[in-house]
Amino acid sequence: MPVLPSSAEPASDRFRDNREAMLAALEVLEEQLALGRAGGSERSVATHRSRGKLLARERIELLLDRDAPFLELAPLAAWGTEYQVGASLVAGIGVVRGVECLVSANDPTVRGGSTNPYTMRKSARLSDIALENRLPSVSMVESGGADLPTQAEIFIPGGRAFRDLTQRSAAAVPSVALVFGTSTAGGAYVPGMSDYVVMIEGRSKVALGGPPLVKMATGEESDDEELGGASMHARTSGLADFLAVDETDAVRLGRDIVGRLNHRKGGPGPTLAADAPVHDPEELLGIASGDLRVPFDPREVLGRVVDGSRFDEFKPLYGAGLVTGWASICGYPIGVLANHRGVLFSEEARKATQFIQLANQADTPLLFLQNTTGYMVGKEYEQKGIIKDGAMMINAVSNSSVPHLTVNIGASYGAGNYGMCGRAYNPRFLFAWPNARSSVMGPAQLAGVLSIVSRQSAQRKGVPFDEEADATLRAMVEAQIEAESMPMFLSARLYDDGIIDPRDTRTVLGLCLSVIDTTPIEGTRGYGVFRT
Amino acid sequence: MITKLLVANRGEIARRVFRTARAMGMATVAVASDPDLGAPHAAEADELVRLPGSTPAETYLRIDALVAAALASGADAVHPGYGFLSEQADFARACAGAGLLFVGPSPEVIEAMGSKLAAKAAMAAAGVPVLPTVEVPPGGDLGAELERAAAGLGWPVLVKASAGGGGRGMRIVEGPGDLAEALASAGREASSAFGDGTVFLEPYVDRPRHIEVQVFGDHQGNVVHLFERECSIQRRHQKILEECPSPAVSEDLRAELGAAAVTAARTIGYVGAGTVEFLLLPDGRFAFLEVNTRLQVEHPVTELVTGLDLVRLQLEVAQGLPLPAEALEPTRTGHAIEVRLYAEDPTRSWQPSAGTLHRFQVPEGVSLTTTVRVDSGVEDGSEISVFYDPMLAKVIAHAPTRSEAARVLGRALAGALVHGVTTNRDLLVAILGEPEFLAGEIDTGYLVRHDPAELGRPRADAGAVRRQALAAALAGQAARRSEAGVWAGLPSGWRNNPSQLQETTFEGPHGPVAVGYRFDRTGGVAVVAVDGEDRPDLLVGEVTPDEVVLEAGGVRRRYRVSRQGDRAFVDSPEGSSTLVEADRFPLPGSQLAAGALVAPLPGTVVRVALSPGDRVEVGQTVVAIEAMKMEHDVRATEGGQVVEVQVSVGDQVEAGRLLVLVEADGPGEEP
Repeated sequence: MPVLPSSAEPASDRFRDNREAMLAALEVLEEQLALGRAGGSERSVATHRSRGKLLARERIELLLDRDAPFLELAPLAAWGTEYQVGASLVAGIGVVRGVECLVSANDPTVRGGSTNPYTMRKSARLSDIALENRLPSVSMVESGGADLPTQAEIFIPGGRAFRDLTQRSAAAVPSVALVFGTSTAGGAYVPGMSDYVVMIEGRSKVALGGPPLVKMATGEESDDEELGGASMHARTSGLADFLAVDETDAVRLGRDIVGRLNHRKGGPGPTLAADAPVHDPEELLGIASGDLRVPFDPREVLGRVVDGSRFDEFKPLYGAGLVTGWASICGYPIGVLANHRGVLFSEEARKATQFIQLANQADTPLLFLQNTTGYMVGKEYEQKGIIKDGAMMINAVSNSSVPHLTVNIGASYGAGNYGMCGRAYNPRFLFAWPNARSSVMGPAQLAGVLSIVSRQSAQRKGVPFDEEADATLRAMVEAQIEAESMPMFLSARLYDDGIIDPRDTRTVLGLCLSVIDTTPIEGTRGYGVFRT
Repeated sequence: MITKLLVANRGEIARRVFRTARAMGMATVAVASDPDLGAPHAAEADELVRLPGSTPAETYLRIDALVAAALASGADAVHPGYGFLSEQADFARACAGAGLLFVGPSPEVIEAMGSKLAAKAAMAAAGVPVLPTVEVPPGGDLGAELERAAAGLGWPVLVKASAGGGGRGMRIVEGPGDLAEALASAGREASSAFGDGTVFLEPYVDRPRHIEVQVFGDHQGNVVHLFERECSIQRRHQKILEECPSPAVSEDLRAELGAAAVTAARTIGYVGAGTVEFLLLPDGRFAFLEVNTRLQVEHPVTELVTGLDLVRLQLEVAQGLPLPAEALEPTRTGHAIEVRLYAEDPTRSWQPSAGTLHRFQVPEGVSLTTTVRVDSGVEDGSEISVFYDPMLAKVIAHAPTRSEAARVLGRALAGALVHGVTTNRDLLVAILGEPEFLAGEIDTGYLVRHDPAELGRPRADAGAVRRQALAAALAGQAARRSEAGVWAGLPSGWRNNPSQLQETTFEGPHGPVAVGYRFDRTGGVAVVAVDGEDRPDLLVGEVTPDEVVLEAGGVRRRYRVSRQGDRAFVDSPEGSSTLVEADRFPLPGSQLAAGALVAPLPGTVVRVALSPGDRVEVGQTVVAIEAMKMEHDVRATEGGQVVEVQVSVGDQVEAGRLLVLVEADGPGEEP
């Protein structure tokens, strides 16, 4: 297999500028991640600790196999909103007793670990990941339930969480709940719907209604222990399967439960050599353009991500704006679609369609590296049927049944986002680099379009066009769209699974390919491959 | 002519005799008790005869079984080794009666010398200087007369077992009040070890040197001495370091000692290898102690200095051959030092250690001018049993000078891999580098003067142990990563949003050590912390499951790590440590209750001093356990009331077994 060459010039001004811009973006990212890691206020963290409790991340670290990696998912959920970064829920994929698991822990230092609309979205996304990838879930529960002021947004859609749990169970994807503290009202159904429940003596409190609510409802006097104590649930109600003496013991029991799940991976496993790329991943920082108008060669990226930098390019001479080909990451074979020059023409769309069909025929997962401004517009292209060709590509992406992974390494605008397997096209995982942007079109273009439309409207109405107001409006719109296309804005809304350091791309993708490998990989069959 | 030799012994001495026997073209037969059936000595001989049972009394001390073993295997000669039956005249006699050649002196000589009392009398008569003696009537009857006689020797006095050796059945008695108990316990120990409880009293000489002379006689009437050995460094009357020549012996004194030894041997018509032991007093006089009618444990130092194979000479003399010219005119070259590596903890009253010896490797070899020889009875995986002497091996160095021999020996010991049982290795290394020792200023009080708890403290200091713990943690990490079933190819402990370090806590020789580390995305170590403090000064090099390279203060060192369950054995140029990794998830109820007294080592319960309901004071003996031929007291760690006694006399107990539960006094309670 050919090894990709590299023409990166680390000494060049462009490389240095790119690198500086990326490092600055990473610094901002780290600042925001640190906010999430800090949890609630210093006081609430101190109070939590003073009760002899572990923090959410400490609980997760204790649960995980030592030295095994952990991919935290959506750490920036709720970023830029009125809620704490991370949405009071820490979650990710880790290894417990050798089994890849979806692990989550409420952060009780953030408003008592209560669920806000972003927590709900994050939970829903985690639930999808667990089901699609057949990952056993371990939930470390300590939550005050719904954030009552936002109940209107949470109450009705939030019911999905419990339906998901039991449907996962029906699909033989097990769930384990370790209850570290309060889990009342709706929260009570998390242990209620889980396959295995561990409670902690004197700590866990699981009840539909606490003493005040019971008093309001029926007038009955009761205490926490009678209503939902761990000992009561272990001995009387039977809701708890195991009674732990303390937090560490609960984690031990959780690990033992996972160890006994007899969970097996259903995928074909890695089949190819898993050697490191020959080019230095560190150089990715200088390769990704700081200025998105400047395209960069995705082969330079692949040469720093895929095994041995080996890449068998498919149709290199046709539709050169999209690079397609075969490679492997950590031994898992993949088909790659990567934008080169940004714009997708008919040729690129057809090439993508054919390649996606080939990958399905070969049961090979697909990796989409997005850096696209969208499908080409203009008379010539419309007349040549760009809509039909784009539709064909979107059709192929939509109905492809091999797992997809998507990384936004630059731009993801317009229908290009759809054709390149954006969030709505259900890639198993979607990550963004800190430099990435995504919106219906570029901020300047969008502002320009609005300006043209309003200028036309003014002309039609025969009123004078206020150039000054237009300039102000354009700037405002441009700024707003720029902000909304930022990866943190999208990550906050669960439109991606996280923003990753470009140097971690191989690790993240290798981990995800292993996670995907828990299910059989079967491509869509039907017609033969259309030579579009 | 010996064609087939049975060695009626175990461990290193059996292997030592086999080595020469094989070289001389003899077939070999081993005997082994049940615990020893897989031991190296049992595996090495051509044939093996099982001695059913475990205790010495059931096995290596059974004359009938050993004679039967020799006859069954068709052996024509028996070598007794040292200890066990080597100085039992009955055994020599039984061998002769069965038509077997006994490699040793005649039963009469053994008998005469086997009683230290009789030997002293014979030597005094021959004009060899001796110390005064007070005989103790059988049963240790404490008449006023005995007490007076004891006082006549001047306090303190020494209780010795007449049939004894190796310090067993020996007690120093400071005053009349302690005499009764000393006589009783010495008698009990002698009885158990030698089958003869007779004890006697001698004046206790403070800080003498222990000098012995190797003698050899043949059937042709030749008697020679092969120079002296100094064995002054002892713990509890047991030699742990021996050398030849003695730094205290001048040529004149050597001639005097040699002449006295030869006189002693001639007096009794000695044939074969023997040792005449003397006390060398601080004023330069010497006094006869006893004759050992066997090959000594420390014979290798004589071998290395004279170039003679003493076992070969024994076998030749036994077959009626005269001593060869090189033995009749022996010469000395250089200096040899032997140390005895014991499975015992010098910092905890020499408490023996039993268990699996996972790794045993001592660098041995011969260079142009120096030799390191290892005579061992163990190998990787050997079980160190509670039934026998806890000596693992003898390590002997020979070099042109004493100081060089000490250095070479110290280096060999320091570089040895000894995993699984606590040993006196660090004490031996310390002695070999200690100024008084190097100056030759040694006597039997050396280890009183130099507190073994201090001198024998682990060579690895707290800083070194911290580095060793880091190495152990990183090696454990490498092992876990290499065994990972999923994500094995990803960077160790990778996080996209790291919040804490990977943490491991070890219990080490200086207390707990908490290690934290984080690897970066390239597989290098990004952060190292020890006991909660970042340690950017500790640089991490190559990390594998067996070896970690660390750099501290500009010095790179290799840390060899080997694991057995939760124990990590780390060997580095800074010393060797055993680190016990704390369980991440201790089972509830696995922690010992306060006031629980457990067996410190495996053994047999010989005394239970208290019953439930009894009051107990701090330090009071609650249970005594016999292990490795010694009695070990288990003492209360706090005052209170005995709640539960879980064992009775005769029970076999494992290390860590709960013996007695004491409910401590409440804080305000007056006892």
